[in-house]
Amino acid sequence: MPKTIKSRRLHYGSSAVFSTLVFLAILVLVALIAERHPLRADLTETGQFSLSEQSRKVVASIKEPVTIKAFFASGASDASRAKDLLETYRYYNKNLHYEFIDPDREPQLARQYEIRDYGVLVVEGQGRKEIAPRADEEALTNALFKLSRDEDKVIYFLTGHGERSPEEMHKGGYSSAKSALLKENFQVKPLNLMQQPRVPEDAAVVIVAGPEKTLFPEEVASLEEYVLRGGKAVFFLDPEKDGGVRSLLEKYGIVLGNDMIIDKLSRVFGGSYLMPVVTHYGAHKITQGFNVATFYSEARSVSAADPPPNGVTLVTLASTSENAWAETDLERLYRGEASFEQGIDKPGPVSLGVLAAVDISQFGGKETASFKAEEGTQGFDKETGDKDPLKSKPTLGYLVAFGDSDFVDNTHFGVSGNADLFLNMMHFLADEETLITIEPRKQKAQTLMLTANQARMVFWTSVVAVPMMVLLAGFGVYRVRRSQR
Amino acid sequence: MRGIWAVYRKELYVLFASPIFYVVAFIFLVLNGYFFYTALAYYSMVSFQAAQNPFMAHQMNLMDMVVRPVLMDLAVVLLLTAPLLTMRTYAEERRSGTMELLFTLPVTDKGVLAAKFAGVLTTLFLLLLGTLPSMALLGFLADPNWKVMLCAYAGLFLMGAAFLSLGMFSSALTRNQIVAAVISFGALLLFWVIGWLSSIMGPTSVRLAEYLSIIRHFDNFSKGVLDSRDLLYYGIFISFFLFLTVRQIESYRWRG
Repeated sequence: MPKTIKSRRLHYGSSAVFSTLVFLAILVLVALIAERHPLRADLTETGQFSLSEQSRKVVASIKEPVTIKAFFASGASDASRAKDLLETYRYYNKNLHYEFIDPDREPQLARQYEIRDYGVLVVEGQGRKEIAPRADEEALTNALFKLSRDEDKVIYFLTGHGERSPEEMHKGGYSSAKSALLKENFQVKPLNLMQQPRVPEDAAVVIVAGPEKTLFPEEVASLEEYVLRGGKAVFFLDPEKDGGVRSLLEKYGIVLGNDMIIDKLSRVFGGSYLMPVVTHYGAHKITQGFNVATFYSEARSVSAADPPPNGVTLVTLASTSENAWAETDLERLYRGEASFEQGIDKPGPVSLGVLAAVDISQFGGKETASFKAEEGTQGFDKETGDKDPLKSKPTLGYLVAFGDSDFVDNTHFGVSGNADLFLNMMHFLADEETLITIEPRKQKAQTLMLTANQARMVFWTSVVAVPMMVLLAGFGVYRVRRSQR
Repeated sequence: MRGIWAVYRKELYVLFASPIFYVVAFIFLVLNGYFFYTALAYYSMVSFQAAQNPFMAHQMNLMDMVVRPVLMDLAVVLLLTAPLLTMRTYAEERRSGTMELLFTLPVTDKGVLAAKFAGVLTTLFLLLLGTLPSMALLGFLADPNWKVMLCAYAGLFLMGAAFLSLGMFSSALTRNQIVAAVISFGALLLFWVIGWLSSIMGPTSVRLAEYLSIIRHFDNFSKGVLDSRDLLYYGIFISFFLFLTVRQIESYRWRG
């Protein structure tokens, strides 16, 4: 090859490569700039792929990277819907990243995050994690909001009457429960109502776990005052030890039985007759979708008053099977001769956990004002004023009573569903379940039922007629061209 | 400009005179009809069930359950058919020796490219036009969201144009039409599946792979979200491959 041609090729070749590289660099630059300043228009009627004002504010406030792990079976139809949702969130904040995990393919991750169901989102960031139980805007925004909240919710354990202590490591202590609560971003503190008159303002939940001695009337009064300003008090009361709160509970429709539950079913699980098994749960957010058994060692019955007092909604959270009964004659029981006596003992199913939602406007009206003020500071945005979603919610105080305190002690915390029930309860009570309510976008319900004729028309038009026309056109062209030859 | 028009007309003549276009269009439309019919029949069946279940009725969305899946399927078919539309553009000219003729015409290389690209875009447009009777039928039977539909079609057209630009580049690489079609199909498939890598890569490369994924950008269009980034992605994709094609054509001049 002549030298001149060779050098010419080198010259042109290198300039072509160079210009290509420059062009590519410009395109990359343009793409990078465009990535930083996206613009988008949501053309759907309901704004399906846009976030509500509230969500946008929450999302905009995220300054550190947050990873959302979505646990979906691969190829599930709702996974693509979740992906659309996550993509929408990502559009509003680049700090959000998401990944999809198939819990069946990566069981170790699912176990690590304690995932038991498909469709759960785990939001991780700033050294914390929150769980959104469903992949919708309300759940995800709430999880993000909880994640970005600086202070943790405080759960108080009452002390001073021989209650179970979250600090104690021995088998009757509550240290396992405490560490589980810490893992779920709660703070755990002791509360001594003999030293301070009021339950502190920052209390999310107050737990009275198995008091040995009775509470002083003043203490019971401060607990009641706490509930009436929207507080949540939980009582775990063992048989024969009602801690002096019987009348308080009865006022709000929770009846403590003077008995002990005997359950023949529990023998099946290798327990004693005195360890009732609960497999029936009430219809409530705490027990929603809950389908594992919980075990209670030596429990009394706790039932809901019928009819409930005005302004109180009662939910029986847990009850035993029909094989159990509540034995009232404890003397005979201790002699080992207990048997079900019609008319004296309470027949199964025996309830042993009741929740009372107290409408505080109907009980202590004057307390509501201070509660509302407090609630305002918790609200995620004070500027929205009366649009603040928290204020429009009815103001409720909660009382929960279980007829047993050792079902979450260190011995029983890990047994079957005990820990989950306890944590569900704390989550519901402390986090008020949802901080922000977002109405799901109402899609226009569009059903289309084809008649046989219509279906036939669709088939003939789209599958047959249109392609046939193309074929005919092609044939026509072919004929014309042949005749021209 | 007149030169470009002349080349464009000649391109169209060649395209519509050859049986390739009709075979491709026939297969494309039959598949479209089949997808549309099955999606609609399924929707109708689910509608019957939803009539008894008000909760389910709220989930029923014509766009999500019929239009989007059908257009998604069409995108796959387009991936297979686009190389067939572009494979002859330059390869045939080189094989039959008419490339020199093009060089001597009073039209620049860019002008020829523009005319050829416009030619294949026209065929793409006609293909998509052929799917419209089905959608019109849907409008007759129900009440679809036309704005979303338009957006989805725009996305499909843009993605098709991106397929064609890559197809033209691969056609400029070789004299053999079959080789050109295979190269462009392989390259397109690679752009299609590159997003699948995301599950096994680190976070930075995931973002690159997701950005490069050609189908991911169409996804937004198909659900009715018009995003500047997706528009720009296709713009960049098309201009990059057209640029490469021009460079490749120019190289014939100095490579001899």
